[in-house]
Amino acid sequence: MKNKRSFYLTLNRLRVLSQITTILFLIAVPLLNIVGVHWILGTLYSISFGKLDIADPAIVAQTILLTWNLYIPLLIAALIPILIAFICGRVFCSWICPHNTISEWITAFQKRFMTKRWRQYQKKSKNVGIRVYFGILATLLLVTALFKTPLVSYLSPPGVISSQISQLIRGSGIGLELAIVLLIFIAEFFLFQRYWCKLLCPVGAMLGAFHWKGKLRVQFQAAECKCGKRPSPCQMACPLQLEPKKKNLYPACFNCGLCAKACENTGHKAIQLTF
Amino acid sequence: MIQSLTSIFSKITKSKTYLRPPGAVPEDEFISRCIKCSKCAQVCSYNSIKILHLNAGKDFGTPVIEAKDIPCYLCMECPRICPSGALDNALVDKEKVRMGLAVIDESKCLPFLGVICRSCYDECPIHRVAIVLEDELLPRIDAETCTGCGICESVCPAEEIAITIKPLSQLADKRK
Amino acid sequence: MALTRREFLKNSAASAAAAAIGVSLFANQSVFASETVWHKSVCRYCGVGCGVMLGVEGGKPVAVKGDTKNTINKGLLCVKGFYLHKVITGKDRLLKPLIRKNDKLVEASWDEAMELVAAKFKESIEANGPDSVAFYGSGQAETEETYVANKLFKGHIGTNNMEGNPRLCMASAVGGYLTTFGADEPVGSYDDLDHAEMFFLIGSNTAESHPVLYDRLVARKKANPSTKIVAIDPRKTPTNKIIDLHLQVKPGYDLAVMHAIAKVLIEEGYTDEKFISDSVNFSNGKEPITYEEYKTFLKKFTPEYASEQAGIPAEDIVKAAKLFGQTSRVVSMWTMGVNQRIAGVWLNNLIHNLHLLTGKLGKPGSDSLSLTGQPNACGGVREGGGLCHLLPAHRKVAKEAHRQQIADIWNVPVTNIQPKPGKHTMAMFDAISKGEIKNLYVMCTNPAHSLPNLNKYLQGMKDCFMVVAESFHPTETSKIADVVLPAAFWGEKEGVYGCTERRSQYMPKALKPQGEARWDADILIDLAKRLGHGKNFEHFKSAEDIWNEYLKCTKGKDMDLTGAPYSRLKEVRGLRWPVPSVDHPGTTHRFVEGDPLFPKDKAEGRRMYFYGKPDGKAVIFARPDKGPAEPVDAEYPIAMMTGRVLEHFHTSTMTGQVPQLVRAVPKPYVEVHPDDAKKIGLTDRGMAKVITRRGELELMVKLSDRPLPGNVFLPWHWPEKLSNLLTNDVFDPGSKEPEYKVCACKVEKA
Ligand code: SF4
Ligand code: SF4
Ligand code: SF4
Ligand code: SF4
Ligand code: SF4
Repeated sequence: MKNKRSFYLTLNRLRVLSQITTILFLIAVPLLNIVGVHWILGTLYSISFGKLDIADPAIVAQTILLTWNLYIPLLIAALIPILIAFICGRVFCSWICPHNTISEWITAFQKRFMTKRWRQYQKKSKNVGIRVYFGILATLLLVTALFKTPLVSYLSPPGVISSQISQLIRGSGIGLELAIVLLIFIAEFFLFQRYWCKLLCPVGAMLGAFHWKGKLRVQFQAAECKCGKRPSPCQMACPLQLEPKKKNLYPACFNCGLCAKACENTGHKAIQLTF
Repeated sequence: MIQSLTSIFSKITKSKTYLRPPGAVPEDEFISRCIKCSKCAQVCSYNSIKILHLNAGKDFGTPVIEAKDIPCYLCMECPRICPSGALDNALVDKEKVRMGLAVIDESKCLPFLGVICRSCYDECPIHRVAIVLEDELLPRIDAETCTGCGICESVCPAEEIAITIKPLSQLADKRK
Repeated sequence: MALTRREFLKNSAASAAAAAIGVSLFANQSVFASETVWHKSVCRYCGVGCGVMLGVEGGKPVAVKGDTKNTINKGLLCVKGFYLHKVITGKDRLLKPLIRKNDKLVEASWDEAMELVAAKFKESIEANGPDSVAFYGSGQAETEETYVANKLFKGHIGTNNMEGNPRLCMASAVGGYLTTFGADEPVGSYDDLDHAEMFFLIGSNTAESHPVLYDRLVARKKANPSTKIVAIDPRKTPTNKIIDLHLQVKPGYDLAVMHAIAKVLIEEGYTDEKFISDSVNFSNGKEPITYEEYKTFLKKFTPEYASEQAGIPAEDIVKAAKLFGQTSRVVSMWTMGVNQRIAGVWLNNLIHNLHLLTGKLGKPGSDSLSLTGQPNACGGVREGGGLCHLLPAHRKVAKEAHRQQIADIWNVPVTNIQPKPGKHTMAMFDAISKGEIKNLYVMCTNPAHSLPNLNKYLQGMKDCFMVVAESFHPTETSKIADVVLPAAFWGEKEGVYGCTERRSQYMPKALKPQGEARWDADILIDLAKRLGHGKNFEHFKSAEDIWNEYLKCTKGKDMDLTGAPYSRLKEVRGLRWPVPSVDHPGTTHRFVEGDPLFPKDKAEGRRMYFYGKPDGKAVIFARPDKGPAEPVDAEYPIAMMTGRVLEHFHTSTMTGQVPQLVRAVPKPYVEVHPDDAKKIGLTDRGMAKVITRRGELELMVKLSDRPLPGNVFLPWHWPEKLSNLLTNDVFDPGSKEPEYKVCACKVEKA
């Protein structure tokens, strides 16, 4: 195939398009609501198109823990995200989540204007162990259940950002919750490490939980890899500073495919994002 | 131990009782159920529902109605779209809404001062039932039928608003 | 901790005072500081004429409470009156004169402003004659103020272009009283309300427009539960709460109903034949007819015919008629639903007819009582002669003798007063639009908001040289004026108001005017001096001086107020004329024994002698029935009605100053029946476009079963959405009062 060589480039273009569309969408929904269009409602906690409800599985899990009760419509609403996560992994994070989008923009800014320091940090890539990763999620949920406090709601940057957009447009201004997200951005700006998405975010972790042994994955074929240098381009490309060539890439990887794109760029096919 | 921690925590984080949108389940359950999706606020054409910011503490993200600014006009759009069951999806009759209860402070209410005022009575959506006029003058609330929508509170022209809504959470006999 | 719903209410009611009507009002007087000085006054708003006490503390108005000693309201007030003190210090009070420079209103000194006004008026009078200037006053001005304006314009400038807004509200009632009884203003008084056994309300939303009187009806009904209330109104109003029978007629089609009631009264034998033969003549409006001819005329008006016309059940008409006939004491009351109609005078006549047929008039508990909209429409303008064809104290410019009497009092040659009536309000604003009237002086009213079909008249007002004396700015009128003069407001000036029941009440000056505001009469006297007429105004040093000169005009007239000098008015809660002497208690019923003017000799045993008519007989009129000027049709299929709400008054220049009242009814709306809304696709609190042949408005929809399907209702208070852009400016040919109350419109989703 002729453009096989630029497959990941195209895929990434689509991904960026999806990210931008999401942000525009989040602005459009409350505006449409105000002018009386009500068949589309919601934020990234839960969104609905007509009668079809879609809810964030992390929030649904939290609700179950808080109410100790299974509310069927809400469970059903979590099915679509679960199904997508099961097949494609945390693509929500890489394709939709505005927090990641903004983080990527910040990274782009750093790459461009803070070149030297950035490169130093970029080399410090490290994967995350499964136990650590889900350990954090489990702790969060445990605290939620014990203290009867909806921790996941506070700690869901996509939820907070999207609902802030809605509140702002509806004339209720911004609130302290935005500080949570800002703190993350600021901390990561100086750390130059995307610890939030890679380690801490309950939304991503919950989706990752459903992926775990699932389908779409970054696959590394050592035989194809011709890059001797360290750090290799694929590793430098990973927005989460993971090492794509190592086995324990998951559950932290959110399948953005930027490593595959970098590999493709070198003319090789050592890293593929495939089923 | 954990229990007492929990209660201390909720004492710190919770200070106010809020008027919730129509169909809201009892407060504790409501807080747990509501997934903070903002849909109820977005669907409300009157902008009656505001979503609490984190500034309000633990209840962050949940919907409230400040009846004195914008009350609920009982259009019954919000209960049916709530994805979490925090608002009762089956609630469609505005007469059945019980968000709270209007209470009149007779030391402030104008007719009790000899001034003809019927603003609350005229605007009450459960017209002539939830508020009745004793001697065609003094407003009286009917506990059985008042929905707690707060329209009365929003129009009361007394110097200090004389009719206010006690939210469901302050009432012992919750929803019927 | 938590209480049940019921317990909650019980707890809160524990403090309940036994505040039944008129009892223990203001039990808690301690809410007012002890330094508060209370001044006995009269409410500034409606024609009920409630007595109020204005509380002043350190030169500032701090509170208003009902005057418990005033028999009109016995301490009760409506929410408007209660907040009057807040109006005095309202945010829009105008504090300095404004004059238009380079198309902008800028502050000026009094001298500069008055010089400009005087120069303009002089110039116009000299160049184009006195009829090129005009005065437009108000039923809310004091009698003294209107009197000075009258004297200046009719007596000194020499034009009868001197009108007032009562033309837009009470002119038809005046026409009715004059044609039927030969004398303006009610026969009975409010006292009848406490004795009536039936109230007949026609085109009156008493509960909202005359709230305190409504409460008197409530009290009457409570004291005497068999009291019946029947209403003819195209809209279910809050008044419906206490009525027993509602004839919900199609807007503008109630004349036939009145005739049908008369017909039933006659056929069922409820008439008072002795009274009719003693005190009643019949007329078809052109010439006298006989009782028999009147009966023949009524043949057509069967309840069935009327029912078809008005769209109400024929049985209800019969029921209403029988109630009227069977009940021994009936008071009819009406307001704008009757007056603001193309057949306003006729409809007034037809109401009087019922009382004349049954003799239910001139005795306690029976009256044909027109309710006044404004606090001093009766006193200042009707009695004071503030219309283009009148002179003070029920006199007419057309009558030589009347001109002579007034010219003598005014100390001017009789030739100064033109014998020809000036231009009535609608003709006046028409002439302004055509440029025939070049200078207009507006006092205490807001025609750019209140005239019907505004689109037709606004440009004229902008083009002419318009002076507006007003306490508030901006109003729709002051915005387009060339000079705006800050007028002292209620409480800042003394004077007299005369309310619905012929009662004149004194208002004290309790406060210094805000800013540089001046008393309207003072401004007019200043203008008179600058126009060179000073000598006949110089002796007016106080309101009392003006009142005393006015009293001279009333001496010996049907509205004799000689017995009501300030010294007495300050003590009592008003006096009902005729009061020919200071020891006379005032008159509750006219044309009967006890009325000081009742001519016993001429009456010869008749119970009532209508001395305004040459033979002492009132007239029953056989008026043709007439629908609205603009009936609904295929293109404009909905009847549009206009009216008021309890919390606001007229153009809301005053009530708009009170945040609490604004909060209660904050914005303009149109009441639409849910059936119509469904058809058109309107939702509650959504927007609708109301379109008439004259204009269109986008308004918030209020779904309500108050109007019938096919009708909509617009309150007219808000400047941001002027309902008068839509209303019809056709007027009653007799009273020249426009048909505000009904026109045809269409309603669309906006
Ligand atoms: S719609 Fe339901 S879940 Fe969403 S914010 Fe409102 S109450 Fe909460
Ligand atoms: S019922 Fe309607 S008006 Fe009331 S809060 Fe819900 S959406 Fe808003
Ligand atoms: S009394 Fe007040 S809160 Fe109760 S239904 Fe009526 S308007 Fe709503
Ligand atoms: S609106 Fe307020 S002051 Fe008026 S009657 Fe109702 S509670 Fe009393
Ligand atoms: S009823 Fe009329 S006069 Fe009485 S307080 Fe109200 S507005 Fe004033």
